[in-house]
Amino acid sequence: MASHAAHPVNPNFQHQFENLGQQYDSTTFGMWVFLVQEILFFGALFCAYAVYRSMYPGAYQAAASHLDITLGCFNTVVLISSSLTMALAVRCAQLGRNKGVFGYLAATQVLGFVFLGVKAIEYSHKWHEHLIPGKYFQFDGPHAQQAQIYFSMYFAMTGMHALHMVIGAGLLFFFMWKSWNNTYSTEYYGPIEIMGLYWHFVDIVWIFLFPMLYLIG
Amino acid sequence: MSEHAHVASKKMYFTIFGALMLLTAITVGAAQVDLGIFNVVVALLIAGIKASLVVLFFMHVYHNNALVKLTAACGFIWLIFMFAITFSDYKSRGWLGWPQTWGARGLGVVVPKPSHGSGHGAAPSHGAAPGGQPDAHPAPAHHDEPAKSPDQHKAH
Repeated sequence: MASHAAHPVNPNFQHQFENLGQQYDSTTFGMWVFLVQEILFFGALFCAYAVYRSMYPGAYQAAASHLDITLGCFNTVVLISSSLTMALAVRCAQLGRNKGVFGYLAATQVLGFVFLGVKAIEYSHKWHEHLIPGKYFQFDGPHAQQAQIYFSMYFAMTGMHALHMVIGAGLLFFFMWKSWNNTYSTEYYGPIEIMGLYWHFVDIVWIFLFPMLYLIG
Repeated sequence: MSEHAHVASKKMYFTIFGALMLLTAITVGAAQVDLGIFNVVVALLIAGIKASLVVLFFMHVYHNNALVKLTAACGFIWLIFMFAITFSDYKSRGWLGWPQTWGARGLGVVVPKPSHGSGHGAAPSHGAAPGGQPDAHPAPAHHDEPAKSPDQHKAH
């Protein structure tokens, strides 16, 4: 990196690092450590889901049939598409194309809100069908009591996922603003890469949620 | 820094996207066919392939350094530990013929009366014989948040 000595210092270079390369490697590593924690956080929810499913497969199946596969499938397509636009935003950042970063982040944002909108419609259906666990829960058939477990898992898991989407949307707005101000270049694009890691992780959680919650009915 | 940036082609990203869409269609299709226990196996296998594609190519692990590869692998290895140890507990309950109420109480499975303190009824076995229990207790008793249950169990 001796060649950088002659260049003016990048304003985004943080002095505690040796150079921008080390800064990039350190921040990427830090994000991965955070994601490992996220894997185990969602992993615990999946584990609880699996324990109860192994006890009450019949109740899970009956309860899952109340979910709309079409909406779930639509949301899967939307979220995977948003992962594509996110990946293309990172690619633009690597090439130093700030306008491209802005455009692809905006597309990701729109797809993210479509996902959340569909999720809101699904939640409102559950509300009207009295499928919220608790005092007013109503469920026909022999598995009424155990079906509450399924719906508790459904709301805990999709709710936590949706919360991550909302946080992601806030982060996207921030990075759209930064790219609008031409922050990124071929030597400094780490934050967009890290934003991408977060967004793809949230996508992966949904990749498992969709078959586990919707497709067993 | 620019020297170690690997910029993948747009074509690669669209190819991965196409593969993810195809796998989504396959998993939805496979769910319509009754394969018995293998429905879950197929669904998990396809989800695993999709997740691997995202991790390797969208998240750039494939072209990244050994530290990142190792860290990503760590997450999944610990996930396997969590499942293996948890299920070795839940699945082996009752094997030694201890009082069945031990297992049931902690899991909140059996709620004898709607106005209960902590359930202490005689429980049908569950760990040894998993299967949807018929509606033995129709009263719409309150269930605690299931996500917390593994911890609750330890508290008992």
